[in-house]
Amino acid sequence: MTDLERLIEYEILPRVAKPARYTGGEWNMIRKDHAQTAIKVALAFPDVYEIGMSHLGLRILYDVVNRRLDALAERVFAPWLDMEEALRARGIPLFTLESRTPVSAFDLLGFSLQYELSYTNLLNMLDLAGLPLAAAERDARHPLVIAGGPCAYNPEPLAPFLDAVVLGEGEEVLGEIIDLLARHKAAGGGMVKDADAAAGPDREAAIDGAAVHRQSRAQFLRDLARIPGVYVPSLYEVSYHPNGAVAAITPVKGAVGDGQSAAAQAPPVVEKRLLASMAGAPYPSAPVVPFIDIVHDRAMVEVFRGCTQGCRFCHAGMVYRPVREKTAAEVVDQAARQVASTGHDELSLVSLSSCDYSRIGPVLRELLDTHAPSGVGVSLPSLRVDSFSVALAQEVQRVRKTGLTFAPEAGTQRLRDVINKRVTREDILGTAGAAFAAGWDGLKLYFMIGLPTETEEDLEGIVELARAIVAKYEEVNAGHKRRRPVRVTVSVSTFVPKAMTPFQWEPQDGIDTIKAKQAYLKRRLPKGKIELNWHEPEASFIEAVMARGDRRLARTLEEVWRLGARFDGWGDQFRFDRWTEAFAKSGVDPTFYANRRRAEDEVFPWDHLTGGVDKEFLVDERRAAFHGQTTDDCRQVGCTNCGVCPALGVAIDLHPEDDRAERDGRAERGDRATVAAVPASPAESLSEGGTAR
Amino acid sequence: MRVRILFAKDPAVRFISHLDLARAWERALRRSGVPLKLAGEFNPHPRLVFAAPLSVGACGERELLDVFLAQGMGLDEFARAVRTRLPAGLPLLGVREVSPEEPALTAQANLADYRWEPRGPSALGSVRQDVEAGAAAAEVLHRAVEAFWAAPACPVERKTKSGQLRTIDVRPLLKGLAVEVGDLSSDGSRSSDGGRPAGAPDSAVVFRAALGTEDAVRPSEVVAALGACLKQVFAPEAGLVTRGWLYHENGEGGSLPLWPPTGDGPAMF
Ligand code: SF4
Repeated sequence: MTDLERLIEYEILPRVAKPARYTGGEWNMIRKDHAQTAIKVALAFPDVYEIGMSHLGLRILYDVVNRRLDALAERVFAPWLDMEEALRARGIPLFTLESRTPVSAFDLLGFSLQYELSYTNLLNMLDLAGLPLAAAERDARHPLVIAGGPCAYNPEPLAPFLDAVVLGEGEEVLGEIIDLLARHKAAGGGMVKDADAAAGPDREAAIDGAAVHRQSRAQFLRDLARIPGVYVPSLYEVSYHPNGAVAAITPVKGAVGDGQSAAAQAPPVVEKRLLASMAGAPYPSAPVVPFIDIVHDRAMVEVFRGCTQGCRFCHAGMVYRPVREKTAAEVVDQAARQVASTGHDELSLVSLSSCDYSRIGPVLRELLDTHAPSGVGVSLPSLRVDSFSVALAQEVQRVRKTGLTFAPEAGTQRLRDVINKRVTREDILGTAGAAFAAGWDGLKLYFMIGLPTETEEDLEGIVELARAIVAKYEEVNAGHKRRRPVRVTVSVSTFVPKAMTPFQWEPQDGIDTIKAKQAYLKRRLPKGKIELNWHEPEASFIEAVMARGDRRLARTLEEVWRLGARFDGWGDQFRFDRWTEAFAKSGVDPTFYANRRRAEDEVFPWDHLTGGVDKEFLVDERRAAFHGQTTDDCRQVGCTNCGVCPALGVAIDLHPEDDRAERDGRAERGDRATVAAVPASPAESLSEGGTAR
Repeated sequence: MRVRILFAKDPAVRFISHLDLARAWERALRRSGVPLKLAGEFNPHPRLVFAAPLSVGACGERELLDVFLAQGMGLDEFARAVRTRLPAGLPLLGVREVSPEEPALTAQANLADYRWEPRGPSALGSVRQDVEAGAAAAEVLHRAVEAFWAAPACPVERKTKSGQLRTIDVRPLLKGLAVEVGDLSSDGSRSSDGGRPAGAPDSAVVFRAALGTEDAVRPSEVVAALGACLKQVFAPEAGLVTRGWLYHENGEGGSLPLWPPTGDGPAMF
């Protein structure tokens, strides 16, 4: 044990909260020999261990990288404030869990960007790692700093800090980046870390060396930009109109050192990457099993990717298209592997809306039959507003009692039509009635306030709906003498307009308006039976600023980080006064980003990036919203022309067929039907499920 | 079938809590596929009974756990299934069958051995333990233990559950306190060096104290009391606490280790 290790082990870890956040060593952790492995990847999640370890994407990429013989992946999370203080006080750089290696010693540092309020943590982690914040100040001796995840679709506020951004699903493209790194390193142009020390006392040589390293990084970035799905912010320049809006974002001309300027130039538009099919996609069979209690402490099997329900506020529903399902056989097989390799007592079927999975009924029953006898429960993270979902939840109850959560999102039919949430009041009350009849004595409802066109009537609609649900409970339980009091939770979030959605032009309500709306609900919702939760409007405001921000916000981020902002996603850590000070110091008017209705033809800071959905489709959807017209799910009615399938050369990939015979026959993978927009698959699983809607 | 497991909590996993440890064991047992007996209609769970919780930061060399199986199975088979499914740092040391009639482990274990080894520079307060100064540490500990026995009482503050401070005298609660010097730690062969300075001899205080009752004394309290005897502020957390044997004391002064140290029956690895 070195002195440094001794300090960490005996002076730092014993004195911080939850030291096991930083010690690794969990079951299924992979620790490889650094000396024997060419490419070292640090997978960074800019929040605490408990949140980062709950994230499926991290589990998948950890597995994808570690499967390679020539690469290793280790994890690093944002240290909590006490740990940060201890590390800074003793000058100890941020290290990974697996081997306590300083992050700066890795070839690649990849951040997961899940929410805008984690951006300050990203800056803090770069700083704690001892890396210059600005990409321009880093060179080939530093790790390549990249980021991916939902926020990557508009990474502009982080642009100056990131060497590259990955759009879309990371399974394939991360491998291509590693390949390129390996080639570069083998050619001697890559991360020549040892050269640092060799630079020696000769100052001129050292300066020369630095120039070489800078050039090496620049060349590498140009090569990197040729990988589809990789966006290198430094290869683009942004110009602005006098009114502050973006005028153009264009690839920089005349790339150094390369004769053919066309080839040297980055693509004008970067398209997202995705797996054309989830069948046969890599999936971790032995994910790390945390010692400490994490947020989602269970085995997870992804059942499909994408969602085409088409809610107009929903970022995920627009950028992850099209829907691609795993086969039932794969889901059942991966579930069995996960349960066996982790020992978890809960298995979650995850996706954006798992009740939409073509074979959800039969798969759920098969999983319960297999795993319930050993006390392993199955859970569905989100339920659709229909009695079919209640029936599924009832099955799940066989092993684990769970709460029910539904998301009507808006209080009136009018507003639900605007946002394309295609459920009716009858659906909602019918679902609640079915749940109460099945024995539940409470449920949780998600609503959003501040949606475009919202009026007081819509707020009153939330109140009325919640009351009607309470009344439904009394009605259903009218015969019961000793019924328990009903518990209805109304959770109200604030609408945040997101890039690449039909509402990307819309303003967010001002903070005061949101506060007034929250106050209205607090006043109007009957206390006792209905519990109201809400989000801090100031935090939602910052989210809105960053979600549709541009590169000029980078200065604000750096300022606010210097003012001490960390863990802004944590209500008890978020401090709005720091942000207002940072906006002032960086000369940025945040309302320009959050509260301004944008012109339909405005160039957006993310217009050079695409998830495949046409901007025209978004324009049409927005118009339809204002006319109260709904758009159906292409899984049921056929293509509604969002553009993603033709743009990316993919198709909806559903597996409604009963493949049990195929499974028994151990048929080849890939021998499956690719179905474009198969209609009415949920109906099939309904009839097979034996439950009536 | 009731199976008693002897295991260790090594330095590598010392920062996990008792709850974490219980969860890790439950998951390891599930992975091993042994036929756990499940209890409870909703949320059926296996029953795991530990002799006594270990706090965050503490190691254990002879920890005990009872598990209950729905069907009988061979102990060798059980051990084979379980030992390869345990995370590094939680080695299985032995298994034996225990009669269902025996009292619960928690009731049996009421006495334990502890060791505290100063490791971090701040462990012995301003009596700085330099990296090469293992011998100096032993010296300090000897003086502290001498002062401890010479003092009429060794009071320390304890925070009660209600948050009030209460002064307790550590001295009458200890069944022995001594300094050990030499290669003490039996974990040395199993895991890392646990942070011992290269070439420096180990030095530690060892003591025996009650478990799980009013009379139970925390290792950190003993260390604090030792520091106080030298008018020093020792930092218990900057040292390594290791629990050794667990005992049953019969109330008449006799105490038996809860795991027969040698001889018939138990399979030791
Ligand atoms: S292109 Fe058509 S089929 Fe494909 S996701 Fe969009 S609407 Fe659905």
